Amino acid sequence: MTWWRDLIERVRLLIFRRREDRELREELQFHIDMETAHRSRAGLDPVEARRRSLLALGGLEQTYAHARDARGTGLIEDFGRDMHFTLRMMRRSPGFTAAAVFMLALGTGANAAIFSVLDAVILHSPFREPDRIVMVHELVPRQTAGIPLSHLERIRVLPIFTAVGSLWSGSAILTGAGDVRHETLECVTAGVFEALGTPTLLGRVLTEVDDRPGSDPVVVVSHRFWRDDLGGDPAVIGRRIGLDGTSATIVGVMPPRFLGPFSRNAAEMWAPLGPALHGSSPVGCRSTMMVNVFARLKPGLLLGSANALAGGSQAVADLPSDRGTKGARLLLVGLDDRNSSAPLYFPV
Amino acid sequence: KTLALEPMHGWGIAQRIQMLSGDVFLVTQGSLYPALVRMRRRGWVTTAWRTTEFNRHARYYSLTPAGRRQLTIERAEWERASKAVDGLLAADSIPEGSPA
Repeated sequence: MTWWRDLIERVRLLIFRRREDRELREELQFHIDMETAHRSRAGLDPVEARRRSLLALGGLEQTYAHARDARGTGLIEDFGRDMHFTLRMMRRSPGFTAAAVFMLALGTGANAAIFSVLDAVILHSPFREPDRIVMVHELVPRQTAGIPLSHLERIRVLPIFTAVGSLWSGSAILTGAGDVRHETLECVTAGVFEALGTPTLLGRVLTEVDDRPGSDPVVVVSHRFWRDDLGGDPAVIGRRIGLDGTSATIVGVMPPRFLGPFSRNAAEMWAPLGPALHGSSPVGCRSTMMVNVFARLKPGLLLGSANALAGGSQAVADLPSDRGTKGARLLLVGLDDRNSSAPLYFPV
Repeated sequence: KTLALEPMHGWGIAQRIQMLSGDVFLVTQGSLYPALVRMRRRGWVTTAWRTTEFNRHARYYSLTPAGRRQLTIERAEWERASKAVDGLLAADSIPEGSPA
């Protein structure tokens, strides 16, 4: 193998380059002296002999440079010289240097900031195809906290969604897992899990069956709750915990990054909202007249493509009027962009 | 090839090439030194500082076993190429020039 030998030799030449340079000069000087002596013996004037010797060699400095180039360490040596020069220039104009360093720092910082947002929102979203998930609002003169239950069915049948689910907050006194305490719940219909599309770590998500009035009380818990209050038990599915004194079966554990559609840390468990919407009162979820609505857009109806027009991941859909009542206008807001406004008219 | 006989310094090599080739190779002597640096890098020659017969300090080059192997390879290459050229020159059936 000659390549590694060659590499070692190059490194050696680089490390001892001062000595190498000196030796090369000495060698070339020796050559000239010998050649001059040789030509003088032939009867030439010493000055002329020396001139011709240099000519025959092709110039002392030129040969020196060529022989140095042949070492194959030129790139690294040039780089070193460039660095040296750069540092000198930077010392000479500290103002310019400071400005340049500041600009680079700003650019790097901005890049890192944008990437960390993208990373959290898109690249590592706990949801499946997060750009298809929207929160549905009604465009009404006075912004309301949610959508009236009476409008829910008409939203559900809109042809732009593949899944629609509703959510309302709840709470319960928790017993049978860790300390007895007041626990915040998110009461959701099966459609929310369908819209978000996140698979469970263990067990199953809530289904339509759980939403029927009179069905057995069940609950899906967060990864943190499972880890901290249930001891990370891999056989936790089927275990019962007490919520407001009622025993509820744990049917699923969500993965670590899933914190519900709002991605708040408050949510530790999800219970079916369905029974509450039908008037019965299951664990933790009280009946309500208002809900938050989350939906998954049909493929090809990405808000992202509408973005190009409006500059925000939002769209507006008209809710068909029903038995004389005036149809409401819906505002669809992408999950990653809930705080911006400026609606876009979205043909339905 | 020059070094195959004995270790030699740069000037000596240049002299010998000039002599052996019957002054046919009027290559500038300067091109010898980059070549020697490359040959040393590839491990074909080693160097040592010695004193010449005129009591001067000089760098002597000597051929390594690897260099000797390389010499054999290159000689074979050269013979192949030179045979090809000889063949071309011997076949002088090609009419020299054509009526313009």
